[in-house]
Amino acid sequence: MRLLAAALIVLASAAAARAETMITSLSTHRLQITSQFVGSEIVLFGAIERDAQTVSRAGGYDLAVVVRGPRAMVTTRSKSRVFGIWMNTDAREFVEVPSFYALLANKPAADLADLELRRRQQIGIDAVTVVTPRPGTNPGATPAFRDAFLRINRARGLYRENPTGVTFLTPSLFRANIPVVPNTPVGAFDVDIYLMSGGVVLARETTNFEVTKTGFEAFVANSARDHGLFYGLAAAALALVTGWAASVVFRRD
Amino acid sequence: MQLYLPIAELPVNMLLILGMGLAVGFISGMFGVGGGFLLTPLLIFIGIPPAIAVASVSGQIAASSLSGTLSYWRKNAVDAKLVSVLLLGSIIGSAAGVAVFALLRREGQLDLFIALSYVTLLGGIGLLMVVESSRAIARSRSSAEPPKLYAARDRRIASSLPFAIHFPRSRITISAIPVVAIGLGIGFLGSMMGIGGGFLLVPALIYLLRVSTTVVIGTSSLQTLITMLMTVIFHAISNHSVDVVLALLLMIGGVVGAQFGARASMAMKGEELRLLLGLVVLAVGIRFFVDLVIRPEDPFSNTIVEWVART
Repeated sequence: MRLLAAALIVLASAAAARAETMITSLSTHRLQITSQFVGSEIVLFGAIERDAQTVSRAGGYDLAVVVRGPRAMVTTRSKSRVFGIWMNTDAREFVEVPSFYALLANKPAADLADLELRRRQQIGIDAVTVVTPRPGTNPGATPAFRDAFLRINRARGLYRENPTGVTFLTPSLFRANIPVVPNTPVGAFDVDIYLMSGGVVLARETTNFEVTKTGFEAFVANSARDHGLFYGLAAAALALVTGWAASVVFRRD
Repeated sequence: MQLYLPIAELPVNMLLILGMGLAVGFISGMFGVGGGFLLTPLLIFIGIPPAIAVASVSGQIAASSLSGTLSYWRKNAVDAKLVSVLLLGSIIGSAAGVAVFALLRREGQLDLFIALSYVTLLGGIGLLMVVESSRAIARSRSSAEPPKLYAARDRRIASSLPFAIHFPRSRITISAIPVVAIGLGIGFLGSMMGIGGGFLLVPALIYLLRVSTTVVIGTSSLQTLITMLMTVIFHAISNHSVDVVLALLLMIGGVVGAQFGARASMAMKGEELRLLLGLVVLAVGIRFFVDLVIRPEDPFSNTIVEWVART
């Protein structure tokens, strides 16, 4: 019995040793938004480690870097004509969808793996989970809302795919430039790195970074959120001072 | 030159915002109006979220109406007593407007409501101004007899109501009820639409209350100033949507532009000014109307309702 257990442990460790591992590093874990912010970039470096027993992969390695911004409840509305006027008449609320999504890879998403696996790991815009708890009175229209949700986010640069976003520097060393868009949401971003080959995931690493406002911008945003009354009074005082200064500077009578 | 707006959470071109403030300030100085009805749609057009545009423009209107109020105050052309009665209505109206604003935003009908208000108010007022001023111009060209004032029927009704108050400055004695009601309406529309309401208040004071024309503009400026200050505070408390960086840029552009506008207006006749302002107002109203009736480029839109555990 004890012998069997020992044999199992040996087998298990041998299996573990056969798999590839990854070491990754982000250029920063905290991106600060200043008044001059117009978008930025975070660089991800990674190395694939394999030991002597690892079999060589016929198709070579694929890499998928999935970046997701803070999640939100988003309502997608659609307009239709009522008495000649275009107004919002139908809506779907999508639950906990990422406010930002980027897939960086070394090939198009569809060539990485089948849709089922990509849905499980959220690899590719077409694989992002966008679901609504209330299908509404017209459930058949929900796919159109989902498509519209993704299309609008793509157009605004918030959902993006880059099939050449991962570059191999050597066969085992890679880098990816993670875009931080000008209209970026603020908060915690998750980065999942998948090492794949022939449509299967060999290894997965997870890291994260945070986009925060800093200095004056952070002060203004925090005051507006936490001390609405004082913020409002300060804004009113600012208006008074500016208006008064103008009447002093330009006084003619 | 890009500048990041901390509340709108996006970078804007600083010179573009200053330039817009300057241009609208010029028009506001020229016609003696706040210019919110032009500035708010312009900001929405360049991608500022409507909630933030409306709230921040209120600050700009407050700043520009203070410089106006001060100069009329020095000329002793402000009826402070009338303003205090108007304010009874407009403070309640402004608070109600901010609350309805938040409700409509949640329901996704805010944009529609703003657009409909602009179409009806700007379309109506613009049309009236164009018709009235072109008649005045035609009259002055043909040098016919001076225009007769229509019989003040509204005033008779207003005088028969209770709570009559005498306003010596404005040279009227009138019930408080219509005055408070006008304040209520102006406060409500101002906080909903991001406008000061000067272009509504001035005709209301002249034609409905028969206020002496010497104090109309000054009184309207003081009323606008206080209402807009309240609106800024209410928006900051309930919608957290006042962007002070955006507001400051607009204020600077606005107060400078207003000075040049005021100088330019000296060279023009009153009825020509009214015709020009009427055309501008009408054009904005038509623009909103067209947006409402033509098929939108994309009938779908996304709105973030709530963040999930954002740090």
